[in-house]
This record gives sequence, C-alpha cells and structure tokens, in this order.
Amino acid sequence: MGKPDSRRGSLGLFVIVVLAGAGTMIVELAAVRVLAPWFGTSAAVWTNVIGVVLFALAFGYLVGAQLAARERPQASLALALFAGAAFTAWLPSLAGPVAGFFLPSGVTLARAGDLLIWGSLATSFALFAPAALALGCVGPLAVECLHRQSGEHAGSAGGRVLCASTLGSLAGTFGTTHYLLPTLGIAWTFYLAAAVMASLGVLSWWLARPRSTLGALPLLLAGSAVLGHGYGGPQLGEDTRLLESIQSPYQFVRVVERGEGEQLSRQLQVNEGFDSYQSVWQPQPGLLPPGYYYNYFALPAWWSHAEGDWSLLVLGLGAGTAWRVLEGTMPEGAHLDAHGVEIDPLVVSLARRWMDLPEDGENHRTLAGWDARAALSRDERKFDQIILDTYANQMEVPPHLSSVEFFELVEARLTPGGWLSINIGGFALDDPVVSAIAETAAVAFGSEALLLRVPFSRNVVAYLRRGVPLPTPGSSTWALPDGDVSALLAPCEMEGRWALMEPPVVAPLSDDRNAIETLQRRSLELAAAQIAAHKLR
Amino acid sequence: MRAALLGSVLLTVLAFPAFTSQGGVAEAVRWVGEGRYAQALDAATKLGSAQERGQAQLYVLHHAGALNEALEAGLRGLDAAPDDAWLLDRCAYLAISLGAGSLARELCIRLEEHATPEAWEAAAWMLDEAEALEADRTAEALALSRARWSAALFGLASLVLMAWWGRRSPHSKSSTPRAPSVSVDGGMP
Repeated sequence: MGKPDSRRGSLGLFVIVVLAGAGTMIVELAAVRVLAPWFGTSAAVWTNVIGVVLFALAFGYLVGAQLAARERPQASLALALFAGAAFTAWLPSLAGPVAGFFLPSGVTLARAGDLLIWGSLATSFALFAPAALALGCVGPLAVECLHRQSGEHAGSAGGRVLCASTLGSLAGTFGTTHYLLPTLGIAWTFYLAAAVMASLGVLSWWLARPRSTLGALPLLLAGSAVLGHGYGGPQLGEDTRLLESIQSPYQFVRVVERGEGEQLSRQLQVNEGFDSYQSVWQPQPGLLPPGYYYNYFALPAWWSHAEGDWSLLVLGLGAGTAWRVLEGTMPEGAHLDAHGVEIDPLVVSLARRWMDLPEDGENHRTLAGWDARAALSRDERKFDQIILDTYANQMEVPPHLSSVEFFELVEARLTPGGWLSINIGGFALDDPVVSAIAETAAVAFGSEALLLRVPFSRNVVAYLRRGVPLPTPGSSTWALPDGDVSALLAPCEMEGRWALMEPPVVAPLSDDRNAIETLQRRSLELAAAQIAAHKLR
Repeated sequence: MRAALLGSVLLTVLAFPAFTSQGGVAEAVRWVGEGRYAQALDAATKLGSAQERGQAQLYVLHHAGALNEALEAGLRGLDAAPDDAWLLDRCAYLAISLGAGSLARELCIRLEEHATPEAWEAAAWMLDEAEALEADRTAEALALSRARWSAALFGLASLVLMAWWGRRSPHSKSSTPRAPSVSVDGGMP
C-alpha cells in the first residue's frame, strides 16, 4: 500500500473507531431506556446494564485480539461491524418479547423485588451482550489494521485508537441523552446506530478489498429489523386506551384512559411496567375515589383553618393531580396559590394536553425541567404547604430527595406552622422505606412525623410541621368540620392505621449515606412475605 | 410509589350476615355506617364469640380499607368456624384482592362446599380468579428462576469461553510484513 493509500486507510479507520465508540455508548444508554418500562431505571438496573456491557466488551476485546492475528483483520473488522449493526437493529423488536420472557404480565409490584434485579440482568445479557461483544472486537482489530498499514508501534496505534474510541463514546453519551432519544425515540436511535455501524462495515469491507460478498448478509439482517415491530413499551390492559406516548430526555411517558362518562379517568404513566401510575385525572377537580393518596394532601389546609392565600409547592408535580385535589377541596375563604416543580418538561406538556394542567398564570406557576432540590435551593420563597411526591418509575425515590440535608432545606422553605406532606410507598407503618424517610424528615424538622396509612392503597402519607405540634387522633386539633375531607380521617383513627414517629438521634438517610434503594427492595420483600403469611389454619 | 388501587376492592356491597345483626355486632355495623371506624373496631373486638368477632372485625376493617388486617381477622374467625360461608366468601374476596392466589383457591374450594346454591355462581367466579392468580404466581416463580439461571449461564458460559480463548495464543497468519520496530501484538487493554 502506498503512502496516500495508507493515510486514507488510517483516516477511514479512525472514522470507524470514533463512530463505533459512539455506537457502544448509544447501545448502553439506550439500553437502560429500553428496559425502563419493565424494570425501571434504579441503580440496580443501571449496574446490570453497565456490567453486562463491560463484560461483553471485555469478551469482544479478546475475540478481536484473536481475529487480529488472522490474515485480513480489515475484513474481520467489517464483519464485527456488520454483526454489531444486526444485533443493534433488532434490539427494539426483541426488547418486548425478551423482557416479557423474564418479567411476565400479571406480576404485581409487591412481588417484583427479585425479578427486577435478576430479570434486568438476564434481559441485558440476552439483548445487549451480542451487540457489545461485536463492538468490542472493533478496537483490537482497528489497532492491528493501523499497525499493519502505518507500521506504527503497537502502543502508539493502541493509544490513538483508544483516544478516538473514547472521544466517540463521549459524543455518543451526550448525543444519545440530549438529542437522539428525545428526537428520534428509542427504536430509531437504535436503527440509526445500526445504520451507521453497517455503513462503517461497508467502508471497512471496501478498505479490505474482499473476495466475497458474504459479509453483506448481516447488513441485510440489520435492514430487515426495521421492518419488524419496533419498540412500543409494555402492553396496555384490555380496558385501557392510549391517548399519547412520548420518549422524553428522562423517560418513556404515556397518558392512558379508562372508563366512560363519570367513571372516566386518565393516568400518566412513566416507565410503568406494573400496576402503578404517576398522576391521575378525573373530569372534576376535588377528591378522588377512595384509595388515592392525593386526597390526604388536602388535610393540612383544613387542620390549619386556612383563610386567604394558601401557598402550595408540589415537588414532583407530574400532571398536577395534587393541585386539582386541593383546588376542589380548599376550606371556604381560602384559595390556592399553586406552585409546582417537575423535572420533565414533556410531562408538563402532556399534562396540559390531556390532564387539564393549567398554563402558568397568577395562581399557577410551574417550574419545568428542574430537579426539585435544585429548584428549592434557588427559591427563597416560603410556602404554607410543601408536598413531596418525587417518585421515578414504579417505586424509586431519588436518594438526594430523601436525605436529611434535603429535608432541612424543605423546612427552611416553610412558613411558621407550615406543613410538609410526603407520599411514601410502603406496605405498613413499620415498612423500612416509610420508617427511614419519616425518621429522616423528623430529624431535619426536630419534631415528630405523623404517619397515616391511606385506605385501600399501599401508600402512607407523612406530615411534618414547622414549629407547631401535629394533630393526632383524639386531640382537639385533629377533628374537622363534617364533610368529605373530614371523612378521610375516620379510617385512619383505628389502631395500627396511624403513628407518630419520633426523631431518632441520627437520621437514617443522608447525602453521604443513603440506602434508600436497598430499603425499597426490602420493602417489596416484606410485602410479599406479608401476603404469603396469610394462611388458612 | 404511586400505587394503583388495591384491586377492585373498593367497597363492594358488604352485606352482613343477617343472623349476626344483633347485639355487639349490630353496634359495630352501626358505627361503620356512621363512619366511626375506631369505635366500630372497639365494639367488634369486645365480642365474646370468636366467629362473630372475626366477622365483625373483617367487616369493619374492610370498610376502613385495611385489607391485610381484615383478611387476618377473617381467618381468625374461620379458625373458630371453618364452615362459615360469609367469612369464607369475604376472605376469598380479600385474598384475591391482595393477590394471595393459593389461599384464595383454598377458601373458594371450601366455600363451594358450604355456599348456598345462590352463591355458587359468585364462588365459581372467585375460584376462576384465584386460579388465574395462582397461575400468575407460578409464572412469576418460573420467570425468576429463568432469569437467575439465564444470567448465571450467560455469565459462566462467557467466562469459560473467555478463559479458553484467552489461553489460545494469537498466532499471525498474516502475509503482510510487520514493521520491524513492533514487538507487541495490537489489542485493546
């Protein structure tokens, strides 16, 4: 090969390496999004995906090292790229069947603990390992090609290839999260990555000047994948209608509808693979049917005998369910000054289209695209009530929104006598997640937390108050004037349905030490054990 | 967790058995009618008969939305009166709502033996539901085992292949002359 040929070949190789590096990160980052509707995006799922991809890459490096010793590494490189393209192109179509194989329908959240971990691991292996393995071959083969073409030292060639590959991975990382997924969605992100890899394969094949055209076979396989079913997330129930679904920079979001007439209701679901939801809507504002924890956010305004403006901040606004419940239940003479923080702007857009979330105005202000803690840090205003409802997926509480430092910040944003109301997913008052969050908040507030179990649900609402004692069943401050809101109290007055949580000496959850994910898994295990413990003697 | 409602348990008609609508049970039922669950539970707990206590506690707790506790109270009542059709029916319904398939199935089978002909249809429906739940639980257990074995097999097979492949020293079949200065084979770390 002459010098210009060698230079052209090296340039081609670097293009291949950069784009293959980007492809690896596209597969890895989009992989978590593919799994999210079934398994969530907890640290355990991320760990499984990253672990499997690293493992497959290591295997790929080894395979690449073997192939590099063969006569025509450039042709092997082309084959690796074709294989990577084919495996990547089929990911959207295979995701549903494979995830469904390891997480069948009918599994309830209470029983999903181990399945979330093992299912996501097995699914990651089956789906992503082949593509990552193929892409892992690219590095060693590229080094070998470069070394043979230019006569560079192996170390020099390896270093330059690593640099190019890592820069490509960097571009793939940012591009996937901030551009590809929100713009193209999951399926077309994979198709694009596959198309790029297939094109690189053609380039590599051309550089190798092959004697056969068999290498085009994986290209055809990759192409045929686009004709498959694509990616649609988990199936809807028979009685559920899909109104709209989108891929946001954060998650898969959809609005579904059930029932007719007065029974009509809509739910906003975010990566929901189980029997859960993020927000709910019914035609009229006000209390929802029994079993919805949002109703219990209405109590503080009544306990405080609110008059005039009642300033409310909802952290984790979602589609604004808490706003609608409070709007329909405020005590006479009080009116709602509603603020909300929602991290995902597309959730807000969907909510405005389908769930009557008001546009910003005098009494409604939405801060979209902000993390709750970041928003709270920058806003010096004080509120009469702050509602914390910042769940991701089915059950994931972000650690930085459950730490003592966070709750100290919340307390500082409350007026004297102001309320913090927290929705906590938990199966009992002594559920590990409920205890940890309530105790942590109690430490931050320096006072007790009141816990109420929401009837017909697996939720507990915790109340804390700044500088004023909490009402408890039997106390003079507990009872409310007769009405729909006061009726919420009666089921909670029974023994075992409410508790006062004393602040412990040390907060269980902090920014430094936060085991919330472990506690969530423990909570699910205990719930399954609780159900299994019911026996006919 | 923004949980869904626990099944379809939202206060279906919970008619109380007529033969117990007197005395302490009647008091508990009355308190429930007035929405005073704590008093109702007190009245139910004070009942002397274990069967009536189970019935009344289940009734109160189910109305108050405490499903696990209601089921447990019903099962205690069944300890004393294993053939009580009302308790069997309510416990089966609660077990289905809570997803306890095998318990629900046991209760339904016993209920079919003791239910009146008018209740057979409901019992059969609940038995179907219970069996579907059991099938779900079986599928769940199988899926977990499948996931564990698959992950372990994938991992082990890959490790074995890697070890085998790693032991094979790459030897060059290349006809391309190598640069004289190079002494190490190319490869990613």
